[in-house]
Amino acid sequence: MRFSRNWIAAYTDLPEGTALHEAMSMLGLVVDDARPHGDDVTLDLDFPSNRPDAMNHLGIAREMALSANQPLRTPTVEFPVDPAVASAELTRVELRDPACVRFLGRVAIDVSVGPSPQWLCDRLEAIGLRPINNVVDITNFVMWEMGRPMHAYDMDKLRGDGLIVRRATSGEKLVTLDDIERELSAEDLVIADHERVVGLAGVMGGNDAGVTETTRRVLLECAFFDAVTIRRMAKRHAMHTDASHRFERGLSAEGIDAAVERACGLLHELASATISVDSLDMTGALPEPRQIALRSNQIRALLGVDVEPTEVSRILSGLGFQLEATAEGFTATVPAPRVDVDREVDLIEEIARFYGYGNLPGTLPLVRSRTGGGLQPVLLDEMQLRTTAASMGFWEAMTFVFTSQTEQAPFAGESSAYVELANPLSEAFAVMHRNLTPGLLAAAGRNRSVGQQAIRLFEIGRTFVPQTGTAVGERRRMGLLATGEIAAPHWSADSRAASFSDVKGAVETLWKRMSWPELQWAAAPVEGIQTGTGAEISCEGSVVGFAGKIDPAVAATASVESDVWVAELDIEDFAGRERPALELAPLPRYPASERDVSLLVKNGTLYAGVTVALGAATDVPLADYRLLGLYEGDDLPDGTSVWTLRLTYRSSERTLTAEDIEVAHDSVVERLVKELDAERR
Amino acid sequence: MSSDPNDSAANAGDADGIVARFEADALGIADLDALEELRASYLGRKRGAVTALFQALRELDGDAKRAAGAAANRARQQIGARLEQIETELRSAATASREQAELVDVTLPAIPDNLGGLHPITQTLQEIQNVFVSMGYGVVDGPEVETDWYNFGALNFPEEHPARDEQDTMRLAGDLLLRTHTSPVQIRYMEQHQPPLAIIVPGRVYRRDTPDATHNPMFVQCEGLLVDTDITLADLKGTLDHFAKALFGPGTKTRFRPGYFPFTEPSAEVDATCPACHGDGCRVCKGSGWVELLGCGMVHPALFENVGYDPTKVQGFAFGMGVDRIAAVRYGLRDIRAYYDNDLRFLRQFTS
Ligand SMILES: [Zn+2]
Repeated sequence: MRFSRNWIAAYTDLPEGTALHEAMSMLGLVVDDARPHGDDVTLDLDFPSNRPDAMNHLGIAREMALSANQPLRTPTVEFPVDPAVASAELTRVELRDPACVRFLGRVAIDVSVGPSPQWLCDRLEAIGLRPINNVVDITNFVMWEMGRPMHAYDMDKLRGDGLIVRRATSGEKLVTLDDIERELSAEDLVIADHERVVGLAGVMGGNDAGVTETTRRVLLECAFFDAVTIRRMAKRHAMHTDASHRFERGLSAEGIDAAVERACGLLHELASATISVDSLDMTGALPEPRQIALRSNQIRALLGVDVEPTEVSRILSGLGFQLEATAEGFTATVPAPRVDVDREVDLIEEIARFYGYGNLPGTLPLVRSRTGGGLQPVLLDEMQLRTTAASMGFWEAMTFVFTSQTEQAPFAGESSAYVELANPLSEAFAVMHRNLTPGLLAAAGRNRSVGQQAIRLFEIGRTFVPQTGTAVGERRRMGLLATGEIAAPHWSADSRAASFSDVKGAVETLWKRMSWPELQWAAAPVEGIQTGTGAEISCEGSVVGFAGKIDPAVAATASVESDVWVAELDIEDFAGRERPALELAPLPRYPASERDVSLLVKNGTLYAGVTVALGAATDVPLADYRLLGLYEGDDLPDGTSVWTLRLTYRSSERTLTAEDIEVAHDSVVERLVKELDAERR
Repeated sequence: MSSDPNDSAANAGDADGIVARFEADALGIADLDALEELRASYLGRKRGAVTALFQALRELDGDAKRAAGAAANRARQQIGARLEQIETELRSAATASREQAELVDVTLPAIPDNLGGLHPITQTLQEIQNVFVSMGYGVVDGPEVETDWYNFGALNFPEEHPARDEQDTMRLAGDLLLRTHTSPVQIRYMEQHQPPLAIIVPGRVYRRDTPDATHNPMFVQCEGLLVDTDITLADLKGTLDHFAKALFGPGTKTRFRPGYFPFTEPSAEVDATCPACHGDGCRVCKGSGWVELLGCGMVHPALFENVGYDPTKVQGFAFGMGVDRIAAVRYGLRDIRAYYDNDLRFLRQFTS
């Protein structure tokens, strides 16, 4: 919101230059911007939404004056009234809706409409308003001086006898001052004459009854409307005006009189108007003034410092509170415009603000907690997963949770339902993601577009799945992506492209690091994954994720041409689990012996067969085994390859003899040959 | 020495001859194996020539034995010393040739690392967590899809109040929404636990902001909540001043300004001296010397009422910071969209 430095300075002395910004910010008014405007400075203030009472030049000056212990110069209002001119005889106002709590009307006649004097134009122009004519300018001036929106009607344009505050009937129309025709709904609160609507209450006046050069008789309106009613109207019509901004933050029924008096004084002074002797004061049920008990010991308890009662009194009186001393402190009567104050703590905040936050001491409390310190297990696990993935060469990505069905569908399946945003930023952000892979693929695409070849990314984040009704399930997932070279060519080694084994190795390492139950990998068709490369990953009998190579057609949509290997796992049921107790094994007492075997197997044979064959070999002293080599050479019979396994034999009871080992090895090889339908080489 | 000249001469002659022959043989020795062979043929227990001299002493006695013994000893000493010398030479030659063969160019590039890394926001969050964990705070999280009540109502946002618009909300079906701040976890945690308690709450939050240099529709916040019987605004000041110094360095100063949040009263905005220029003014702080650190305040009694605490018996403070923004200040990042572009050229700069 824009304010004029000179205008504020008319009511109290202000610090020079940026010291003013500093002083304002220490009261809670942040100066977002300050631009010279002639000999004035336009201040753009970030106003807290709970202080509509102070969103005006006098309101700011009041706080600045109190803070600096300077006098406040409130404008004097003096004007003659004509006893022969009575508002009540000239017009009528009828309140037909309780959303108008109070309506004050006052008539001015013999008004000379014309341009405003320079000083008034300067004031308005400094805050970005265009001077229109002296009458309209006066209503704007008073709103920005005292914070009360006000409207002036040309009485001679009103049809019938005076104004009615009512709800519109659906379909009624109004051309507002911005020359836009608005179609009204039955929820709109309007000001109408006896034939038509002349203004949207608390938002904007209409063109029909506005003040122009020919206007001679003016009906001033200053009212108090219900905040929510005005807020809904402003939203419905997408009209954010200076008036609606104030009303929806909450004004009060009080303070209207002073604003109307001020406007009348100016009408007399600047438009040589004759002011009526009376006002039309239509008032509904007004709230009682609030009284709040303020305990001195509570000030200390909350702020951690003693504030002298005289200082408390100076501050609160300066803000318009009426104080009565009590045994414990004070009883404060809240000035009506301070809609933000309704508890003791609100008073204490005011005391702190003017005592100065900077003057409060800083102390370190003794931190006590019934729930203990440190990361909760699920967060610890997530952090451990992150650091492990990073140590394996993956870079942590963060992708947006909102995406499009188009991006998600290849992986979620065409029939999947999504959690939809009711008010998405755009179509590209219309639904919540179910999978992390599409976001990682998009990130890979962006990296490819800037020339990155070797790309390894991971992310841990929530995914969102619709449940019954409108409920939403959140699942923690982890995704990994590898494409391009895993190892760049280097003097010490050749380059190597990412493969299934890289993502599988990463997943298994992560799982092992977390001591989570063993994973099972099974070839299976997976959405978005090239046929024949996909794996379904299970744990404890349930599918927890997938891995494989992204279907090249899908990868191409993200502009990635190379093979993209991914794995994605649901870690919701694992992260935060209690770790199994470590069972420490004694170190082997007897030496181990290794034997290799080469097997000629038919292509298509699954390595899982090795696990099956050797998992059952509990009667032999087999301690370990691993796949040493995979050979597919021209010298082999068509459709075959050679697997070389290294088997480790060890007994926990004695040193194995060469014969022991020979017997065990023969038995193991025999099982392998049988299970794999292989030939020993 | 006095002995039989003939005997001693004969023995001395044998010994001298052996030494002379040894010297000649030694000239051709090129490696340690040949050296051992040579040693065996002169000093060996079975076939050593010098050993034979000693064995021959058994046939002699008197002066002749003494003279021959002396000559044999002399020969053994001379040959032994020479063998030792040759061995030393051969060993140092072998070492030199091995060193030559295994010369390492220590300036050659190392085998490339295979390290990935953590996102800069994660790294900054870890540092924030470390500060509070070391003070005894727990770290907890909560749902990202929230109800209107937890995100606004329970936090004392009035119904239909513009304060709700300031956090432009992305809504889902029904009264569900994407949480606009981590503050709902304050309510959820207090509902589940009794004071005293001290927690921080990191997590992703969502606002309906079109991405630009200073806004993203998704970002990471970290909330803090301390509730006990007698916590004061001065405690909040002390705690956050300590935090700022821990995060930005011991020379950091903080500044508390009044602020407005529906869920705290009194409320404050906290600035820290700019870590880039230490308060002199630079582009990171837009010349002011200060950077916005966080918003905070004393927990509003309405929150205590909403979770079933007795607001006359407990007091506490809460604070909330944008981790993205703090990271941007630390790293001097001008355009925070970079966080969610996941460009490896950007991520790789945050070596952890
Ligand atoms: Zn700076």
